[in-house]
Amino acid sequence: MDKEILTVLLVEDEDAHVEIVRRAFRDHYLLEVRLKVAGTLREARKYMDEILPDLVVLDMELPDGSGLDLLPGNKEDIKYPIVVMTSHGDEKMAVEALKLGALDYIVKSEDVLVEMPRIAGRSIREWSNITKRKEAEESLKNAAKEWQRTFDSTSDIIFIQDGDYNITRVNKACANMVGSSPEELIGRKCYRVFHKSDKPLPECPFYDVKRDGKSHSMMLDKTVFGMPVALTVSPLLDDEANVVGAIQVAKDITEIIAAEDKIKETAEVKSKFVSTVSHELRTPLTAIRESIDIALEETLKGGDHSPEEFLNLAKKNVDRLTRLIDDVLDFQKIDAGKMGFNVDKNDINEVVREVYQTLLPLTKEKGLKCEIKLNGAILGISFDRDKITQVIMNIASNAIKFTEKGSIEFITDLEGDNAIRVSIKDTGVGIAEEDMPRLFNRFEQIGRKNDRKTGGTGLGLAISKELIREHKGKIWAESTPGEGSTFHFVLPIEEKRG
Amino acid sequence: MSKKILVVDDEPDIVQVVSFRLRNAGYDVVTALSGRKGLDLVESERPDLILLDLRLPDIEGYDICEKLKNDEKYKSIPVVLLTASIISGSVKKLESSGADDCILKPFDYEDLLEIVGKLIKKAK
Repeated sequence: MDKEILTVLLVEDEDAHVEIVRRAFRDHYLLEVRLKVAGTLREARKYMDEILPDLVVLDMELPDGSGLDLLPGNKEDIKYPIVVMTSHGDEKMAVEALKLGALDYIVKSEDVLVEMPRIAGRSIREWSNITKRKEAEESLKNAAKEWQRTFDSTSDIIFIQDGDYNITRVNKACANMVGSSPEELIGRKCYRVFHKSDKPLPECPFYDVKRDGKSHSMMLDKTVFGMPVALTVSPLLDDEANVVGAIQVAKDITEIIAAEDKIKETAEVKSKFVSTVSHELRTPLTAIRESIDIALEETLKGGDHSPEEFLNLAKKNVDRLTRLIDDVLDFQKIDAGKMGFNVDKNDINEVVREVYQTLLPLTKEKGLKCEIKLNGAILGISFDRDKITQVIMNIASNAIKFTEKGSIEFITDLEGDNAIRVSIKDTGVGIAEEDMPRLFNRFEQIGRKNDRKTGGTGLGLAISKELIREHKGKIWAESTPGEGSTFHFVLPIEEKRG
Repeated sequence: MSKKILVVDDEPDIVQVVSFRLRNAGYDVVTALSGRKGLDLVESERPDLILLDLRLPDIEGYDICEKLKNDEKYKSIPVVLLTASIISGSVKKLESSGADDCILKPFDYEDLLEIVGKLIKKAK
């Protein structure tokens, strides 16, 4: 085995003594030592700056001062072991040296100097033990600190109790929640602190933990911790696996509950949607089935009734079914973000005029006046022509549907500097104030009289709202019941659909 | 004298096919497209049976039924509810409304005629 080479700094001004030490080290068969010698304090300081010796052997009387001046001053700042050599009978000096950080002292004589390798070996071993102990203490302290920091960093409320419900430890989140310092909480009964009760609550999971030695959980509403929490109580076991206490962790579940509510709400909307759609499907289906049945029977029997009337009825309801399914599919696409938009520079006046012309025969049929007022100053803006046509068509069809006498008016205008507005005004039945907030919701036609007679699917305005939203625009309605309604939407001029 | 049936539904197409079936089966039929009109006709026409849609724009079918069944003058008139959707929970409401029967759309007209016939016979 290779011997470790130790560096020993000998601070000694008497050559004869140096020589004894040098020879003693050289002759020693166990230690291999590189001996550095300094004859003065100055020289010694210079060495100590340059090398980290494994041992310093320091004479107290040097030409340029006392060896005491080389000592660090206290035990903590000591970087390497220093053994001081005092003259015979100078106990006082020895004690002073130990106070100032020397590891050991020897009384200088030739006999002792010869023994230097043994002394050096012992001192280095002792030093190494001290260092190790110090390191162990340091790492223990660091581990405790690290643990406390982790304990305090978690946002979960954590406290530890003994078997009698006495709090033995709390983390910062726990102390903050109670509004006390950790020191104030330690030693108090947890049920007093958290439940303001004279005894543990009957539902406390610690009963179960004590019984079976396993973790138990429960939900607590916000009355206990000021927020809804999931509480887990885990047993604290001793070496024989006896339950001697518990670790209680309370996790804030406000966000989880909110997310769950959202999921529930979505499921409810979906289920309502499905039930409404199935209702809306069954009605035309009933009409189709019955009218075809009747038409068939009348044809076979050669009855008094012409089958034509009932076949027309069937056809009308097939159209209604088709519209409903188209609308539902449109919605599905919008919800899934799969509705493709074909945005291009278009002339909004032209689009409005087209819808106006398409619907003109229908208004004539109902005896309604149909007017159009377009602002010629509107330049081309970017939008999806089909989708915006669909929106205008939908609003205008509604207007005609709900208007028995008077007029329908199509208007385009500028809305401020950055938007254009399309308005469709009717003199129809109007919309009751209580129905206004639900106007653009899905399947909200129920409160509106006479609607289903005319075969609306209840999705048109909801789809229109989504289409306008996709264009970064806005849609709304104004109405005076009995006098009429005006539907408006605005589209931004600059911005393209994102 | 043929029996008189009142059909209350806001879907004119449904009213049309149902009325046709009932007339073909030999009943007198009066129709209403709203709950309010239906209640008026109960008073003026004194029908022998009422076919009543659940979802009406003005008054819910349940409420009309409950109202009739709590009225000494009309409680003996059989009421058959027509519905396009049976959602759990509404079954209970159906029972408490006092309706004599319920038919789900789309229905088989033979079933409809059978139920109507049975209830009118029972009411005699």
